[in-house]
Amino acid sequence: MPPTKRPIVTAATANGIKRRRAAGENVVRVGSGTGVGVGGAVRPAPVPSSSSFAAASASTTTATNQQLNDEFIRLLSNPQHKNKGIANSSLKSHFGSQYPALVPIINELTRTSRLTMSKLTSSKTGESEVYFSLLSVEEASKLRGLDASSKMVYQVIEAAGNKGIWTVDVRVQTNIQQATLTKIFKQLETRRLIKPIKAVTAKTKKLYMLYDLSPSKEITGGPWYSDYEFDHEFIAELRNFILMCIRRMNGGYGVGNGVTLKQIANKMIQANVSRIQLSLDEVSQVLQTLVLDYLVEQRGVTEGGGEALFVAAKPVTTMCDFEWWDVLSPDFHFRGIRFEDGVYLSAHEPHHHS
Amino acid sequence: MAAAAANNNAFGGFLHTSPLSNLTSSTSHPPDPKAALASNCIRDYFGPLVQTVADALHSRGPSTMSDLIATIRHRCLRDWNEERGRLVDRLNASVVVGANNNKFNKGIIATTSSSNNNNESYYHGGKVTMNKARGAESAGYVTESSHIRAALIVLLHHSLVKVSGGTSGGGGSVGAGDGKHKHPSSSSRHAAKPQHHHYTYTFLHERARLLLRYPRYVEHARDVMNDTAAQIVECLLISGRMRGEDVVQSAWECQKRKMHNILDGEEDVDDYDNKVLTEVVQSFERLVEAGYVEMVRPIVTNKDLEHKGRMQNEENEDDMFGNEFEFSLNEDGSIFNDRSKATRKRSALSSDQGVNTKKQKIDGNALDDHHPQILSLLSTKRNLIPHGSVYRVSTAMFHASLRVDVLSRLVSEIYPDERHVGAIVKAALTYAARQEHGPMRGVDESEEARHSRMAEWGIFSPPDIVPFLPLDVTKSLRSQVGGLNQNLSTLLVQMSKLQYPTSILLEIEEAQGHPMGGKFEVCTRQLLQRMLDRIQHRFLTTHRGLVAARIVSVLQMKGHCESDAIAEDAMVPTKEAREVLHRLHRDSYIDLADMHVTKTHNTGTAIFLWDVIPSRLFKTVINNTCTALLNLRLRRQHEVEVGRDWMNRAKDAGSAEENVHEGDKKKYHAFCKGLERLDCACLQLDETLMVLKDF
Repeated sequence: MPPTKRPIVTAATANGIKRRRAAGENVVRVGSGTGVGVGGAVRPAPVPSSSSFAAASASTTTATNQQLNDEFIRLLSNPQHKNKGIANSSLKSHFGSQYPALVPIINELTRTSRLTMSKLTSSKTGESEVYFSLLSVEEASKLRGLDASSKMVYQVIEAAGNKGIWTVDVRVQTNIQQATLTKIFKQLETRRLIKPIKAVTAKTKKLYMLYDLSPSKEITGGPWYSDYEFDHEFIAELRNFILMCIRRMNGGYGVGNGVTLKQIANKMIQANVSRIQLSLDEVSQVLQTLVLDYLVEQRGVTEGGGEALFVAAKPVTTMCDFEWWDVLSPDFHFRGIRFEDGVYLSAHEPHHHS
Repeated sequence: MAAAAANNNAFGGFLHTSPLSNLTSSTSHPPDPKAALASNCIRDYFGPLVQTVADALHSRGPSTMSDLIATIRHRCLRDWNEERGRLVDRLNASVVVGANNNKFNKGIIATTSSSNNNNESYYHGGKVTMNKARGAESAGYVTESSHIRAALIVLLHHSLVKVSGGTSGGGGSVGAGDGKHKHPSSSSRHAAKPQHHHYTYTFLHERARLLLRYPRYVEHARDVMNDTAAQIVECLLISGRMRGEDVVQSAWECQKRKMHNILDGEEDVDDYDNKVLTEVVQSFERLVEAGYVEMVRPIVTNKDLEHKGRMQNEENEDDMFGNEFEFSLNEDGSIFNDRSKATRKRSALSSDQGVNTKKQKIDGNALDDHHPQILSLLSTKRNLIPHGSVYRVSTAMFHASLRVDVLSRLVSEIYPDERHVGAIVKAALTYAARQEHGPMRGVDESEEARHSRMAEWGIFSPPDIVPFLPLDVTKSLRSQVGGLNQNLSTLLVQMSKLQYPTSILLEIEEAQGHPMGGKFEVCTRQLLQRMLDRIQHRFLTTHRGLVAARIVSVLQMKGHCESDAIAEDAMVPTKEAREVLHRLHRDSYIDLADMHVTKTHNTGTAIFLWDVIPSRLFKTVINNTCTALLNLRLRRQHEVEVGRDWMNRAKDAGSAEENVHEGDKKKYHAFCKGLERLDCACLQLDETLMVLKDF
């Protein structure tokens, strides 16, 4: 596709704003500051008519532009603008009358894929604004050569962070047709910019996230999932280990002074129960299931820190020995009943009289 | 409608419901499982007619006798052709004893036997009567008022019906809609009566459910006392209520029979009988003193009512003790109080229904019928067992005593390394039970004093519980420095400091410096709640699995939650958690609230929150237990019904050749084992129900 036919894509459109097409232009222009909407295409500054004056002042302008460029990059490289970028209004206030002169700088940086623009809501005013953010040279080199649609898709995926984004949502947000989008995904995947992932909650959904990111706990399911499957065996092993650990450390069921969560976690590390390092919260989560199952119970708190102390619960007589809840089924009266030792009460055929 | 229900019985010929039962024959989920279970128990213990009356009372609520009869007749009486009735009357009038009539009568008999299923006519001693009921008596169809009265008296006698009211009124107040099959002569008879007393009868279905538990009471009496006490309790449970002298007499006879079989003439029988009698009296005294047997106001006999009516002056108009009577009731539920009438129709309790309830006479002549030794032994205990006093088994005390065992065991299991903790809790709770249910001898206290005494129930000082402590515990405490009371007080203070997982004792008054060593109270409610929680968890685990039980625990702990959060806490995959949640919701264990974000119903945006309502969960657990118990009992009854011939044949195994067959024997034994298993399951469920409902 020739470049001229490509639409001008701004980050604004990438964030759900309808795409606008500026005929014959594929660069973003920074406006004069009068009557220019935020994020809109801006007009170039008026050029002086006298060529002699222009020639005389050329060297001065170049020097000024270089300073401006350095200042602009320095500003964007500022740690406070590193992640979110800098708002257009902030640029205006910062550069003042020099603001229109930023146009060629922005165009150049955009062309080299070092500058991205996105439309975000300002935390101060609450209104949507265009934010400029600077990419590193490495990142820019990755994006170099991508067309605007691909960049837009990249930006959408990037915005989703480590939670990933469903392909359908990408399509909705970018308004790119599925066939094109598939090509873009393939292209980005080939360049190792994005990677497909699956979430444990919806295994059939294809999600994309940036190649370098690690999926969040919500997506992977944390340590309790392996290969998108709930690892029952691993959890059962952990439960058994914790139960055994508590029992041994206390000297039996229902006795002892109790052990703390930290002690249990340390014991788990020592015993190398898990390949992955489990946090205290995760150990607590497993322990809590044992408490809910009445297998472990709290026996006081530590004197200093007020940490809960746990002991293995001694099995108590529950007065509920009946386990044969088939009796509640509608056809119980007509079922054959076989007891454990082979005693059998034969089934009765129902008799329905007319 | 009732007949239709019977025809739809999927059990075939096996019937377990009365015509007034709200339970269809083939259902496995009755709408009110507790009531259905109570009804089934009554049929099992007292027969179908009593079940009909109990069902009628339950469905109507508190009713007068006339309302009850009208309701039962409305359901049980069929529409008969008046012409047929006239013909039967004419037939009876024309019956002449003779050779010709013999032949005729035989024809009638033949007709009766052939049409037995329809119950159209009966031949009774040369007189043809027409059965006006829709079905057989064995199916609970009753129309005769005397039968209904008899059944009601059985229920009264076993404390399954409460009587209230007794205000005098005019004629019978039969409800407008109830008079469909009203006795034609009832209104005219009412007009002739000078005075009526109207009583309202209320069926106590919660008490009827306890019929199942009677063997447990007997066993418990054996455990806490001895065999003789168990025999006394058994006699009382069989009869419902008895006078003290009759209790002793009855238990003595039973014990004598047992002992004579054992002794077989080895010892001097008279001496041994005297020894047994002394033991019976002592055991009875202990039972009364401990509160296992409680004194109740007597049901007054007709004769006594007449006697009392003659003797008493006009100031006591309703002529009754304690609102409970054994009397002949008129159809409108009125007690005839005409003192001029010399004779009164006895209740039809022991009539052709074969209901064998004892009629007690409390006049002096009746007491003389007893063995003089009984009277002499009891004469020394008249302070506790007054002359002619009537007794019944105190189910409340038995439950309190059974609860003592359960809670003390629970405490010793929770705190296995604490010394004597179970024994001390048992002693304290036994003391509290005795305080609550023991007899009040010669104490005439005011209402205020009674309330303050009730508020003190359960609070004890160390010396109070010493008599209830086991000997080894007492010995051990006494041998330590400081003596029994001091050590016990120290131990109680230590126990009051145990907080996790649950508190056992509260120190009401500080032990230090207290003259009695402090005051304490067992945290019965907390302990019981812990037991109930464990039962619910176990119930859910066995019924719906460990994950389901865990999810319910999560919801109990956290309140409203979405399925994702529940899955995370229960550590199960979200999909599995959702499935379990829906299953639990379908079984009414948990609740679902869907909160709509938008005005229109949109499941995509709605927030689904799951929650456990403790009362609803508890109710579901109880209902399921009752349903399971009912289904097991029905299955057992059905099995017995089906295998009746088989069992009868097996009983005569020696005489009948066919029963000698080995295969037949094996099958019979397997069948009996199956029944035993069903019995065992029923006992387990009843135990659970007892803790859930009666503790």
